[in-house]
Amino acid sequence: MRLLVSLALRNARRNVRRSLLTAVTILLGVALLTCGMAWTRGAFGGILDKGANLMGPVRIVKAEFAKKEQLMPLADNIADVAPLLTLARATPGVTGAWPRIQMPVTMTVGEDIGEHFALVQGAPNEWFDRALDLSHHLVEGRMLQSDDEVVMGMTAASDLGAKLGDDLILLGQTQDGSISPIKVKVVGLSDLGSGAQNRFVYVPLAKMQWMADIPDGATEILVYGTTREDALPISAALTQALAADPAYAALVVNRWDERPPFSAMSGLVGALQSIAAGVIVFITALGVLNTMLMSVLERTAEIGVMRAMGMRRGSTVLLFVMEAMGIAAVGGAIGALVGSVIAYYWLELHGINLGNAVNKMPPGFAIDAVIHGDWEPYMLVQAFALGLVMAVVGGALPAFRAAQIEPVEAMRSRR
Amino acid sequence: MSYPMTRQITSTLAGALVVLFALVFSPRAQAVTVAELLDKIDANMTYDTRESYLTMTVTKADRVKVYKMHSYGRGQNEAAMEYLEPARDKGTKMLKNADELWMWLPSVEKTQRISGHMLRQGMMGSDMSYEDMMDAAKWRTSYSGVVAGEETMDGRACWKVQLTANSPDVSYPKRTIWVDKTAFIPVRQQLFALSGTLLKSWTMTDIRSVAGRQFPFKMTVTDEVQTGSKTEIQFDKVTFAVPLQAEVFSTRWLER
Amino acid sequence: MSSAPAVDSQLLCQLEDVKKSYPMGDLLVQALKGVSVGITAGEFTAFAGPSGSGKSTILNLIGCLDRPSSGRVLLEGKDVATLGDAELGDLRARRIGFIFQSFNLIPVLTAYENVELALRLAGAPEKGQREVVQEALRSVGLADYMTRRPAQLSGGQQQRVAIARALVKKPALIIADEPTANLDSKNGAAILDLMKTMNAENRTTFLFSTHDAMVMERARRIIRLADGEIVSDDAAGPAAAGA
Repeated sequence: MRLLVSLALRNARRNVRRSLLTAVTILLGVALLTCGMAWTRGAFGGILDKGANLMGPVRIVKAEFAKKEQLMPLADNIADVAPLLTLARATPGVTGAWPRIQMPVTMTVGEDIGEHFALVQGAPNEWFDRALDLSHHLVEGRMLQSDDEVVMGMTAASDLGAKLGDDLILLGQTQDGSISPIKVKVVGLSDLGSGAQNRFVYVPLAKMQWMADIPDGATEILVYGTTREDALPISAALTQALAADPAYAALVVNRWDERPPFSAMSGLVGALQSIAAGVIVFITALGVLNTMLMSVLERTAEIGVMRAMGMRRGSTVLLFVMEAMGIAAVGGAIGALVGSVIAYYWLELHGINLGNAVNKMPPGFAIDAVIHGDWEPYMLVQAFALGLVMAVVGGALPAFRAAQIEPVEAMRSRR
Repeated sequence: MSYPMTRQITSTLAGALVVLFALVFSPRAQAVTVAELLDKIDANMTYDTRESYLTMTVTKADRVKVYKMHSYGRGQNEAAMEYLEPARDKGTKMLKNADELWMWLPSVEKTQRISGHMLRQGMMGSDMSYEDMMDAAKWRTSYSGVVAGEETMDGRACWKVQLTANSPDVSYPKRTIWVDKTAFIPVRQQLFALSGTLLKSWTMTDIRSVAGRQFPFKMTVTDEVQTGSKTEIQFDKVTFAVPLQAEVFSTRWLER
Repeated sequence: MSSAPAVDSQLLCQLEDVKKSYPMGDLLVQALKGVSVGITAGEFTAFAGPSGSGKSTILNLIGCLDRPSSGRVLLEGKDVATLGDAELGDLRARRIGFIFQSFNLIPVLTAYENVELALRLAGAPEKGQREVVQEALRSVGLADYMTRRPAQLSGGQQQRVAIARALVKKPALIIADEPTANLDSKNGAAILDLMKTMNAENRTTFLFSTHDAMVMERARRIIRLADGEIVSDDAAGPAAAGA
């Protein structure tokens, strides 16, 4: 076996130019893969992070609320959130837990009777900062300081014709269905980069609780870890904790990726990435196949001799695959390094500016105008491994072709 | 008696029976009945002027809310109502005139017109929608139907009538009503969607005589789609032919 | 003179009415038209004849590099047709050595490694391989050239490596296809004498296909072929007596 490996590697060096060409092909393929991985992780990751933060990576709600979520049923609320908040905050890995009430309202400014709708986010200031980084996205004014103040998304404000300092009337409902109006002052306007989020109106939780007539409660409790990947262990821990107490039987815990739109997406993103990687591997493998096939055809007599000497078909296949892998190891290693450097310095640190394309995204997807890649060390290894896969895929066909050569060729081709 | 004589008497009697039969069971007699009924119902439920004090209890699953209101009505088109209890809703006023519905919100000192989608919502979260309130007095023109028999309901002899809406913008395309034969009050109603799904049930009980007419002092509306949801209205005091100032039914009254 | 049709277990190798045709474009070329011959162990035999007479084909068949179109090829009593691909490979690896006209050494391996490869493929135990390989090279006089690659060796030296490679596994049979064709007469003679010695010392059977008179001088049996048939089989050639 050692001899076979040695033979394979030496064969790789026989035609230096051809091997170099193959190596460069693999280098490019692997570098492209690395950049691709970093890019999709960064781009999608940004969207996923924002989505998870807005929806709450982990959420505690009443089971009935979850079922009718589209209707935003205020009546299916958690009447007293304090014990649940304590429970959530005591769970390992949790960095924060806050209550939230979302409610669709009609907005009126001045004397006009309005038919303008907005979605109100009622939550404590800490949530606004943790989930949306609201205080850093204010274009005018300031954050909420008292219960009679609101911050408006700039699109909601411009649709309504409202300005900083205006008095607004928000008309919503109590949990019993009674019409419930509040009068508030606009103290800040925000720009979160996405059309949908700029139609939100941000109201202090206490005011929302009064408006909905849910004095100590909320419709949702949103729980956060350090990264969105923490959602899995946190939701498992919370589910267990709630199951232990019969008082919480009506509650349910779910993760951001279990709820639309992300429940449909995550499989999709993975599938897209696999397809993209598959295409790159395939194309690179074609390059490898081409050069390897030439080698096989040139060495027909020699292969015949080895077969005549008793080399099995399997060993012959192995010989050529190892030759390809040897080249791939060199090309792939350099490619992974080059790709990682580009991915890190250009994609991650510098980023790519999408400009106006951002405004055409569907609601729910929040993107910044500049998208950054996200390079992780594992990508170096993974891309390199895929480079070897390219070698195996590309070298397999020629290798089998080689194995088909009959020993008698050794005699025939030198006539 | 001779044989020919007997035959003559028999045939005369038979003829008389046929005529009697036709008179009693002729279809013409039935068509008149439905229109008559609707007229009589509308007559009972309308008035020149009316003032009442009522309590509305809204029950939803595990929550019960009790409201107390004071209301005025004139004819079929004008109604004004003010909430007296609970404290949160005290001072809220509603005004209906012709085709418009208005609300006064005291906490923000604002008048809001109720239109479009809001009309179908339950009033103050109850099972009576604003639309239900507005449609009350137009059955004669909105519906046509057939008498489907007679039944006893809540101890009262009733006609069972199946009504179908005459136009698509009527809120309940189909209604089945049980009309008390003597009081001409629909003691029970079932309100259906076009598909035939039962949406609401409405009963009128505690029928008392007030100023020469029969009036149900209690109404219960049950939501048949959402379990556990019902609204009960109990009139505490009803007075008819009350002298009312014209401006009661104007938006100025709302803002006072 | 032809051997008896029945299976003779004394024979190392036996061909029974063997025919071989292969396609060349649209034509079917008949390389062998019905050949029967028996080879005993220890022979030093040459197949002679003009190009296209079928001598290479016979060696291919004997060496299990190819299968007959009809007829039987028996090796050590076993019908080659009954053996599978892997078994044939094993057979070749352990029992048969090949020496080719164009040496056919693996250019990226050293002399030592070329010989070592043959030994490995024969499945010899790891232990002691080093010595065996060195001995093989020593016996062909290349003890000092073990680390040289074929490109660094002369024609004669390369052929010697080929011989060492063929011999290292101590096969029963060595098939040599025109081994002297690419060598000058001095080297050619030296190679042949080497083989003769091996034949005498180890009773290794040598089968040659050749034009070369030097080979035929040394052969103890000459089988002549023409147009795919055996035309003569001299059991005692000119050198027979001097074996």
